[in-house]
Amino acid sequence: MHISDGVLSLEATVIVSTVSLIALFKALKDLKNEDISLTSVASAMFFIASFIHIPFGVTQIHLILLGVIGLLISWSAFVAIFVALLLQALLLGYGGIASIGVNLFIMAFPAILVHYIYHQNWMQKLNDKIKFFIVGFLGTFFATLFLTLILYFSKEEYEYAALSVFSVNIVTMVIEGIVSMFLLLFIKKVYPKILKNP
Amino acid sequence: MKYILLTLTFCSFLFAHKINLFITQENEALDIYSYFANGAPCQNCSLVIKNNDIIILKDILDENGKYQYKPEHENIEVIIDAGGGHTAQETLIINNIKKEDIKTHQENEENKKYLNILLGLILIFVGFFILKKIKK
Repeated sequence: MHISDGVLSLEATVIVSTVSLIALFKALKDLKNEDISLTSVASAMFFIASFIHIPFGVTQIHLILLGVIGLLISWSAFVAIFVALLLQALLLGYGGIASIGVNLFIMAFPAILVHYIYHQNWMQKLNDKIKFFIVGFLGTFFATLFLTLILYFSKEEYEYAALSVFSVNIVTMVIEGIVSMFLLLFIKKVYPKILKNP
Repeated sequence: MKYILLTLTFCSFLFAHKINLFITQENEALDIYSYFANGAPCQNCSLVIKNNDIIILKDILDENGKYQYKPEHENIEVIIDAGGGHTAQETLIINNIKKEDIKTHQENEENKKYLNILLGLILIFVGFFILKKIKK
């Protein structure tokens, strides 16, 4: 899901990175002291999840757990994911420094969207298993959608590839949904308090 | 089918992250090997070898991301290009090349990766610990 440096056009990189920077600033400003511990855990979870690779055809898919992160920490997802992306770029060559703003937008905004969707009344009426599956599924769905749109509008040569990216990631959405469902059911069992924060 | 495969290959170029370049010397020849951060070989990637900024070889890597080259110059620059802005390059002095086989190199890289993951986790907690102190 990480976009490497030099893939997108300069215009797309600058516009999306500016939006991410503003959101990161807001998230840092609003981050409460008591939420920092959970944010650091979410950051570590995102950092580690990216190394769990599942072979799929000629490519590999890896977990990102954006739905779970969004559900747990809402806007602080921007801080958690930024730190993890920065270290992934510096230490492991995932993504890149120039594209960090774009990658942050693609991964942190879906987390926030999922957070707001989860707290809608209709979601709360659903069975836990279905609800948590939707959380995981939607996190990857929105990330893929943003990625597809950014690629599509970035360069003409990416138009066809952008559409293919979406279809390739449908499997990832389902796997994320299943993994998130089990993870959140476990969290609900051992520490339900953290799922109740609006 | 061919179209789908080409697109999937293109997608893996987009998201396969950093390209690594490993060069070792076997007898008279140089073994050039290039692979992505996820371990996938840089299949059919473009290879350019230069001596003092003059191109002396232009070819592509095989399906295992490898190429064997018999050097005729003491100083060379090896450049791999996977497209989409993904390049790796290394400047070499032929007599100074470290003797290491690809398997040992990959094992070392894998160990380095785990150390970096551990370092990353430590840095995350140190970073947030400092943030907690600042926010207090």
